[in-house]
Amino acid sequence: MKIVLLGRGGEGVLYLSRLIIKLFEDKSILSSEIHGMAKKGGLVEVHLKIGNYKSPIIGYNKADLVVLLNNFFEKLGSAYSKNVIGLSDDELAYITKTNPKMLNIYMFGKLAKRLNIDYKKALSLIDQKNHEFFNKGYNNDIQ
Amino acid sequence: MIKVLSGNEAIAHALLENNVRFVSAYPGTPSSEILTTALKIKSKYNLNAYIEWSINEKVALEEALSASFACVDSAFFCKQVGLNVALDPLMSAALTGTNAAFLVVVADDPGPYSSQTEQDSRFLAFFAKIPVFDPSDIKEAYDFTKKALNLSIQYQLPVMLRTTTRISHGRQNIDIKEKIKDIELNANFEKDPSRFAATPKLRYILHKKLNEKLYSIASKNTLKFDFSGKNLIISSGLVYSNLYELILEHHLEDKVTLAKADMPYPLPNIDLKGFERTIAVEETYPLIELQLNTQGRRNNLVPKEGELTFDVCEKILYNIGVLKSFTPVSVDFKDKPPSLCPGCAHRSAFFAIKQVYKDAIFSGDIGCYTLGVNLGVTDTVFCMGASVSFAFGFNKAFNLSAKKQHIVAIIGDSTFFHTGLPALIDSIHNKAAFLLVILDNSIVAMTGNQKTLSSPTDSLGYNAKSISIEKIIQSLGVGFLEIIDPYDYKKSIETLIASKRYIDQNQEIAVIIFRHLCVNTEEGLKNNPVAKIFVDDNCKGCKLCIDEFECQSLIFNEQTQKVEIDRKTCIDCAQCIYACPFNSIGVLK
Repeated sequence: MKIVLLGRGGEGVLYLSRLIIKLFEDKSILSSEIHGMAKKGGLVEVHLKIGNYKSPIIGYNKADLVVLLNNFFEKLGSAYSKNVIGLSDDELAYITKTNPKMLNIYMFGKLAKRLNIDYKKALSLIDQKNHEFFNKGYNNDIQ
Repeated sequence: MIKVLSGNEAIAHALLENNVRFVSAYPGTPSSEILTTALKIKSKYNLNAYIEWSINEKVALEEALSASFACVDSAFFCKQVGLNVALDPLMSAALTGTNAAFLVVVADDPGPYSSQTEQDSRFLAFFAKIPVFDPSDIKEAYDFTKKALNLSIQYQLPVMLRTTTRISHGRQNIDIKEKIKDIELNANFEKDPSRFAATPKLRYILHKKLNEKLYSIASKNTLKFDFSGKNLIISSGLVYSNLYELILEHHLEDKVTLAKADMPYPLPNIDLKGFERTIAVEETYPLIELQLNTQGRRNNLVPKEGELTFDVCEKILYNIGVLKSFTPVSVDFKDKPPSLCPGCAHRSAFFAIKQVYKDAIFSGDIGCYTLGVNLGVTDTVFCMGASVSFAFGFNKAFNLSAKKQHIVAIIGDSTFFHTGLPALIDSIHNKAAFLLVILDNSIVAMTGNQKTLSSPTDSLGYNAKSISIEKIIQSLGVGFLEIIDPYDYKKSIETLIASKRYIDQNQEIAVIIFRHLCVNTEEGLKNNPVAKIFVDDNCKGCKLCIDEFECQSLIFNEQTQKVEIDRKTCIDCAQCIYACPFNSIGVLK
């Protein structure tokens, strides 16, 4: 499975990638991160390959899934795959209003559901205090 | 014990697992995490080891090299442009050789993603005549560190490990050792002037010995072959992994033979007859291509610049006729340019500088503050320390032409220590006249908040001698030296005006240290003054604040045609209030 994560510095892309890596720790993992000017609000791009691969990077049109933490990168994401998971305007508005730091945790919940990850296993990687936003993402519940 | 580690973490583990007990380096993306990880390991296992940042790469290399002369296994690392700074001692180290392991780890940046150049450090290994390993994935970075250290011990020769952004900042499952044990160190230096203090005649003999070592290493070096086609592609490093995957993906196993060089220099003579075509595909310069005289960059089959990503590799396979069709993916995407963090005191300093020194030439330097270019306060960015020497050259050139021109050199605190200081000494002695601005945020912010030499502690928090920038400058006899917080706008302007007057009257150097902790550090953010601001209804929508102050947190609302504050990113520093000439940005009482 080849996943590309895209977002801006400060949006928690790297932490999200670490969570996904932990999910698949018993499998062969290769990843690559670009965060040269991330601190300055630049693009953070993580390539994750789970399974039998040699290279840590993913080519255009070769990803199975693109995860967008920031819709600004929609066009870049679509170059990697047509299969994109992002946040709707409603979801973004809700998270921004309630707790912008939970963007990546919410997305992790959403992703766990999409990838059919065992709920308990995914939840076990998250701090107790962040369970609420994981659940919101997992259950698509932003009420 | 299997762990998912980054390339830099894997290299640090391998260094300490294989008895390296002296590591010296200067921070530089993408190499910096090697030292951070090595320090963590040192603390965890309470190892007797010296692991610390140095003042610059030349000094760092010399520190580690001499420890290897004293029989302590050592390593030096840097980013690719850092090796340019350290090249002088490296060239001689190849000739003298070492008495223990001495590994040079260099992180290249094909792309480039965070560097001034995309130079190929393997070429500097070739130039210095030392062997170089080129790992093709993260696990190999771990394995090759050990191999390189062993080779270094065996031949008493510096050995290079070349990594790249993709390897250093990649991750993979690595089987590391459960525990690292302390070893008994026994420093010893057998005096041997014919090596360590060799005169030119003796250098000839050392050179001869070096060539013998290289011949022996090359004769045992081999390529690994996969697949069975008539087209031979020779590769090394990460691009080998890309090619391997593409050959499988496009079922080219019977069209291509893929050869891999773990150690792309020195290569032996290899018989390449029997193949219809032989091409080298490597990042970023033609090292294998020139040694084995293959096709590649020189006949335009491989691009001469940029990273060899999957689509580039597909194009190469198409160019040599093994891939029948190739449709390039067009990416219709442009990112916004990077910008200083909201609340960054560099921005406040830049804003004040340009109010006073309107027509100056601004020679900038390497650090976060290269982004002063966004505010129009940086005209040159070259290499570490060049801001000061450039100001010297500009000043003398205009003087010789009898033209009046203000020059402002802008440098960070760590970069000042790195190589700015010698240039300042030269400028003062030779009576150059310019303003030197030192942006002192007391941290190496750009590369991940490493400590600077003014810190009263070392990287693990133990006592160190704090080096005072102002005391150094005072000792040089500078007649105008002021230290101010750039958040104090009024005082900043007054001081800048005074500096200009001083330079005009005395034709000497003036120095202003703008000191404010980096807001991207825990301590800096905690202590930063907080004042919530608002934009009032009288905002004309002229965007002067956005254009002139250039803060990410000032955004223009196209609907209302007014400026708004982005509360998600604003840290309430209130520095932008000076950027509105109509006083429409105010502080909430």
